[in-house]
Amino acid sequence: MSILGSLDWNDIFIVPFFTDPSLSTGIAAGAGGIVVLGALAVMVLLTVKGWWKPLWSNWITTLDHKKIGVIYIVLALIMLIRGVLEAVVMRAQQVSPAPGFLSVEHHAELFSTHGTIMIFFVAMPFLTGVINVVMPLQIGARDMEFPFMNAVSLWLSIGGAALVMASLVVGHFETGGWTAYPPYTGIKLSPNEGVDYWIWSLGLTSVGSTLSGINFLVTIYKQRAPGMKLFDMSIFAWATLCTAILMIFAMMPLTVASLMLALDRQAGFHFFTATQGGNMMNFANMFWLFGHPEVYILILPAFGVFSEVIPTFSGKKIYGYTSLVWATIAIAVLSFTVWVHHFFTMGQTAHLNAIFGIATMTIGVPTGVKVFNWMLTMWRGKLRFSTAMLFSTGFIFTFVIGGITGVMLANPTIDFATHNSLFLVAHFHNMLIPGLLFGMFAAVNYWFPLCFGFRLDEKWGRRSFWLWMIGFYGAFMPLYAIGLMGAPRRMAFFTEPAYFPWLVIAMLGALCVLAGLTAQIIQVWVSVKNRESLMVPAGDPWDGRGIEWSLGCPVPEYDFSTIPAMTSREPWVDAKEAGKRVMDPTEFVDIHLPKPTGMPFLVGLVATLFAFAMIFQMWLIAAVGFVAMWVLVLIRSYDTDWEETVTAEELREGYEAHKRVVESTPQIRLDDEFTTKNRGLIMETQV
Amino acid sequence: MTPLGPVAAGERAHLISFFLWMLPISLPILIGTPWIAMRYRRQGGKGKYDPTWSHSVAAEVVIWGGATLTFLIVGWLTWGHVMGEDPYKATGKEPMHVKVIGSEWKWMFIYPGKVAAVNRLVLPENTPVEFDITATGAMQSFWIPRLAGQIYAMPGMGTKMNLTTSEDPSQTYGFNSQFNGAAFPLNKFEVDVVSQEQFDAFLQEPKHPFAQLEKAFKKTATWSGPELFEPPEKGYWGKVMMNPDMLSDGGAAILPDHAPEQKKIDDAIREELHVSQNQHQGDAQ
Repeated sequence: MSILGSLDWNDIFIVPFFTDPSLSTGIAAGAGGIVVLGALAVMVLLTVKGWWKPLWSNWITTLDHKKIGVIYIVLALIMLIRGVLEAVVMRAQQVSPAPGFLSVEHHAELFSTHGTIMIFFVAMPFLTGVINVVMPLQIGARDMEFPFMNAVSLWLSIGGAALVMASLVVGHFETGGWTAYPPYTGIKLSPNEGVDYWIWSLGLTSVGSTLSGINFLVTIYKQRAPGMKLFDMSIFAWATLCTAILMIFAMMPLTVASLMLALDRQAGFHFFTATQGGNMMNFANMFWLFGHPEVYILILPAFGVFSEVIPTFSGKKIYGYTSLVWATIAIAVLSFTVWVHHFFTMGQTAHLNAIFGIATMTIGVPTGVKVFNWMLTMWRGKLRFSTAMLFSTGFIFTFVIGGITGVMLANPTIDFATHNSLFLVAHFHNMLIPGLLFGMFAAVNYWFPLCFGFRLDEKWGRRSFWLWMIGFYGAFMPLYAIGLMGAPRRMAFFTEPAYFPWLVIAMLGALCVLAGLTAQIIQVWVSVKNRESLMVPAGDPWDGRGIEWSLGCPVPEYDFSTIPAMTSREPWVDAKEAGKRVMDPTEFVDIHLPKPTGMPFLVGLVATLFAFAMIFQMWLIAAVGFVAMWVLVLIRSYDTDWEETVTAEELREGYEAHKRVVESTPQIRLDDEFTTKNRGLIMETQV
Repeated sequence: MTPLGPVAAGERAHLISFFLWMLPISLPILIGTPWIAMRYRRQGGKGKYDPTWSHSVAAEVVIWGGATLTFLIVGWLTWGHVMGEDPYKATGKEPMHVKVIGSEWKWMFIYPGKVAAVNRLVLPENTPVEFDITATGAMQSFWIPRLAGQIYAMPGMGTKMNLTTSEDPSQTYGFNSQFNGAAFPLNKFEVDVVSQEQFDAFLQEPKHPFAQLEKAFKKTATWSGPELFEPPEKGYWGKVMMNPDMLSDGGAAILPDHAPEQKKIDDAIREELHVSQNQHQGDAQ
């Protein structure tokens, strides 16, 4: 076998278009071309602007949790653009005269990459990024417990995403959906490299996520500011704690199931081959043993975000803190008890179905409680509808509809009639778009100043909200309707004339979502351009409540000049009520921060090389990549000179500088919050 | 959603009842959220401002109690629904038996000892039917929406589904809802519910030898040949279930590597769509 394994000329994206020209192969070649040209354009831009060096020294080698978080979010946004574009292409396919302009296989590749990307390379990096930025700041920590491992997780996730992007250029992706059930994804029915792309891109990112989970959990356990009890933590930190536990336990079944599938495919094992004593049902079982807790990995951090945004913009303490915490814990525990509801139709006994159906409904209780808690937080508040608050309110309203259909689907007899239908597709988009994306968008709009020192443009933010909201209803309410008429999911085209008007509405909705995404890109562009007038150097631009707002914006690399004293659940609110505009320092001491290092990037690079080699069965290169990965980790482990010191004096200077900025910042009214008068530290009680 | 049989009717009734049971808990949110947003808005809102109000025992009791009560009700209903409509439980005395084998992209129906059919399911009216379901090749999901919900058809596995046919003759269709490759949109079959006399006549229709079916079934991706065949020997379905490879080489599922099948499937799709332009496809359920 050649050193290049199974790779051949036909795998290059442009070749099939010349051997078999059609609109379908043309679109595939175009998509590959966008990836290649996009990568080239970025390289040219970096070279022309001379940004290679700052990119390397400020970002690629960074171990700062905030910057790592930002890179995660940038990754998520890039992949989100691809995911939404794929959705628009699929919607266009279904409204064009059957059989449409895509082959069934090409359409299948699209829904498979759409699902895989949205879950693993949009949702996961997005929430991991937000947690990275916010959680250490909320518990009074200076960084993650394991900053190096944090960067390794990041570069493994980017490696996974890069593989999915590479599948546009080299070879194919799989066609069996994001769940990739065998035997369809076995070597016999899916002989090309598509499923291997799925296995190894997920392999990289699921290891990254497991490591992130460990990192978050240990950080919360070990790095909280002295005096901060678990029940003093913000709800977002609680959400992170529960998410981290889920990440640690839930990612492993996926890693194992996908590696078993890899052994089936490439090493002649028969874990999932019925004729050789294997059982495909076990794949579904293990996949959803991961997949259901995963749903709550996705949604809990967003719940945490809403629990921060809503009190701030209601100008009010959060309602029912204890209730919210216990509801979060309950959801985390229950999320491990319901996975069978993903395959009620697999022919198990009625008792088993009934028990798992009812278990599923129990999750509705704490979730419902949370929704009412948010509403009661707004009750008797003074609501300011910033972009973040609009996304949060839009979430409450829209999420309920998904909740209703969720309880309906949890009844196995209803599931028999709606499983594998567009009703189901509408349901989970109804949970994930408001329940995850809206939360993450709110988080970005809310916490953006912490990372960059300026606010995001509100006008374009609000436009993006309305476009997303209307787009969501347009795109998915029709799917509920035709799902109930019996339209199955994953169809390349429908011949049923009754579906057509609904599909047109869904198409318009998808375009509206695309416009919302465009508005967000414009929002970032406009904000960067006007950053001088949007600067909030004094910090706390929204009269916030968490201790992260006691810091200046952008937050310095060491986060806190002194670790804050935790006198209550909301020490920053206490300080502001006492008329202070800067938290009193505790004790200035020398601290150690990890030095920037290119090692995590290199680890990610060779791991990606290893995975790519595994996909195309280049065994020699794979072996080299695998060994190199561990050698790099070992070299780093023996490196003793990895910290640099920030002296107490520097910290004191930082503190004094922040104090001077605060003192020179004029006080303004909350009504001017979204104007250029806002230079940070608005305080309701002062005016 | 216009069901033809009691099982599908039951599913629809449950769907509606669950929707209604969710209203007491969801309407307060759907109405309350915009109302609170209006009433407590900073500029122009009329609501009283109370920045430290953050706990109320009464509200906690109502929220947790209401959610739990709703859960208990829908949980109780679920238990009843699931036990009452277990697809493994016969819907009447001595149901008629039909053995089902799903493959890429066609369905074989065996009426034991009587006839074997491809992509055509004929059932007598107002009769309980029990399907034994298996598959060759990829996993499929056997679904006749207007008669009953779906159950997976899996190679090496046997599953069951029970239903009662409509009271009067009717025509509908069934399909596979689990994506299984290039001709997935064509993976469907006609369902004719007919009178007992018509059904007896159907069993008497001329048939082709089963050996011909077995040979063609293995080779063909999409079926366009004859529909009715002699029944196979007793226990044939069980043998296929235990050894799905005997009816499938599975190779037709992936196209880039199977150019000839790709062409056949393209033709089949075109033919199917041509037919659909001239002939009404049957109303939405």
